[in-house]
Amino acid sequence: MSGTTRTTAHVAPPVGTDARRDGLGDGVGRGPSGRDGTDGLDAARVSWSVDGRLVLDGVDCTAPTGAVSGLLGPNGSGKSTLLRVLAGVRAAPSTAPGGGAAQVRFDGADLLALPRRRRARVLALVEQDATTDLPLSVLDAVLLGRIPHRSLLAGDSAHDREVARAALARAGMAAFAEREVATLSGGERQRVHLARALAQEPALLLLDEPTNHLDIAAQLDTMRVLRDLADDGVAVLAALHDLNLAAQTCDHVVVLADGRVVAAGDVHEVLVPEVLDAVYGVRCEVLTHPRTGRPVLTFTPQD
Amino acid sequence: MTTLRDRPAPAPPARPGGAGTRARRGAGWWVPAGVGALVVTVLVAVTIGPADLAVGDVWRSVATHLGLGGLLGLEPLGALQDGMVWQLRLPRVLTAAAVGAGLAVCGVVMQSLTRNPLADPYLLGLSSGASLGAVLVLVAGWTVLLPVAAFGGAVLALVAALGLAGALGALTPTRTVLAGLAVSQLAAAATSFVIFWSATGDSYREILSWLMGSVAGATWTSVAVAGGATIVLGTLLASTGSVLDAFTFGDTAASALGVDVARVRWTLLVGVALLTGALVSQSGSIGFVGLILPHAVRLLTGARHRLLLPLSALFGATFLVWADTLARTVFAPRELPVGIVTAAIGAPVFALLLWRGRKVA
Ligand SMILES: Nc1ncnc2c1ncn2[C@@H]1O[C@H](COP(=O)(O)OP(=O)(O)OP(=O)(O)O)[C@@H](O)[C@H]1O
Ligand SMILES: [Mg+2]
Repeated sequence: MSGTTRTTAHVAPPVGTDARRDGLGDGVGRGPSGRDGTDGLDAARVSWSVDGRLVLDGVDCTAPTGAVSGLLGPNGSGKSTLLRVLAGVRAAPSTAPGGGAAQVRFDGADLLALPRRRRARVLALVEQDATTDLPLSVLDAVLLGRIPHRSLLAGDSAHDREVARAALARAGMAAFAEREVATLSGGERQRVHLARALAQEPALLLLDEPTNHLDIAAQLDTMRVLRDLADDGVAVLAALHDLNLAAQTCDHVVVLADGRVVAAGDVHEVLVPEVLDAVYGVRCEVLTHPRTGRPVLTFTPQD
Repeated sequence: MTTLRDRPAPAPPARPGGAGTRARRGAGWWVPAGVGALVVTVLVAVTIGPADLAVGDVWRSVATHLGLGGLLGLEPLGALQDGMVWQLRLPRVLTAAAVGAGLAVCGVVMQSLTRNPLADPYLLGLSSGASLGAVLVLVAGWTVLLPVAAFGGAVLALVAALGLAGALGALTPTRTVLAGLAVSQLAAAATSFVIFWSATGDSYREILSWLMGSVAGATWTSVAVAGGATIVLGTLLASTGSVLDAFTFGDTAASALGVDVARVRWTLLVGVALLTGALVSQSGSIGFVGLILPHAVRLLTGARHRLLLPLSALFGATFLVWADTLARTVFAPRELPVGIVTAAIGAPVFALLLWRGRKVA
């Protein structure tokens, strides 16, 4: 298998161009002049607890429009929880002890106050592991992403199918449209979920470990699609485990540990031994990539 | 613009035509074909029985009762034959159709909502609750109260199951199923106790026939109750296709697609319970229809609900009419409870479906 051949066969309009048109109407959408400081996701003081345990403790997190933002942190640090709270699929965030009220804004609008269906037209969430035993074709799975865009009584329109096929092509899964989801490999299924989120035509895309199960070429491809979406004006926030992948592909990273933000900002400032050694309990050295100039991280155990 | 590197084309699907291809090819014809099959089934099934009636006689009787006799210049049927069609067979056939349609729709909804392929309309202890209510009145000899007692039992079981699940925390699929199981077991134990303690002679057969499910005693009242409930609640449930689709990848995915998961789950569970309760009150708890039909129809339509729900209703109706026709003719003049027939057909079919689905599961 050649990891470097890329086909750009599909001709459909880029998924995501509708985001601006469809996203937040009523004066909260982006103007044509585009990006000022308040563009994109801006979450502040987000806390969330379960059974009396504080899983998120006053998290501040931004994901600017036009950028790929990485959410990093060890297992159990709260990445998935944060993404779910931001997506509004968990109970609303609570106020941090001693802090101000939590807020989650997108392009200045209160995201969690939006009606659900409207919110689902603004943001899409790709989950860590979602599967089904039902006999569902790949195309049908991607068409689920169109549900928030049409009346609940309507069937798929020709436009829906067009968008779904474009999303599949963009995720590199066009040849799989008629396969059953349950028969796919883990990496193929991961791409189907990405396609489903793309079919939602979101202005904000939240992804929980989208490169899970993917081979190295597919990981880079996925990150390239995310970059491309960002260039189309989507705000992308992805939880990642591979620090080097984040270093090579993200504009901006947020590091969580124990439900708190330890560091946030440019990869050069954040992916440094002073931060990572403490968070992961390893010894980290930073080199510079000879071609991209981005940080390359190596790890050895702490002694 | 960038796309992901295209994956190599997949090997041909294991079975010719994956669910997706099947779902699209000729799909527009299935609902009309299903309606046609059901109409023919009803007209033919009414003519089958110990006293032979031709299809023409059936039409004559029906047309006369619909007030079309004069218009079409038909002579009315003899009183005996007419009574056979209009008072006995037609209500029975129509009740079977309504019950079959309703159970199949309820089965689809329950399976999708709980994401449990083994779910059926009785999952929340509804049939056990209804049985307890029915057996209590049968043993007491208050047979007229049977439908009311069965419906009441089903609703009480639902309240108990949802209450128990809710008391344990959020209404998740697993918790709902487990609570239903607990209620079911308790009601079944109570039913056995009542039968063991006080049933005598005749009531045994009556109880057994009810427990297995039967439409033998169907009247126009049964048609009104079962048909009315199926048309009203079944249509409401069948119109929720998009919402049920959204549950395919679980609650979080549904929520991310803009569905109010908790509210939808409560509403649909209550809708299923009311419909099932109404059906059980007329026919007892007929097994396997709500479990098997959804799986069989999914082989045709794939897992999307827009076609799955109406087709399941049509096929469920057709299936139960034929099952009931078998039940009253195979050992004529003795009758079997139709539940025995559906189980005898359903169990092997279920095994077959499992065998076919083994590659996927
Ligand atoms: N519903 C819940 N009940 C109890 N604990 C929870 C719940 N949800 C999350 N947690 C806990 O919160 C912590 C953060 O979980 P989360 O899934 O957000 O971690 P994560 O950063 O995504 O980890 P991973 O990298 O392993 O995916 C974990 O310790 C988890 O056990
Ligand atoms: Mg996680």
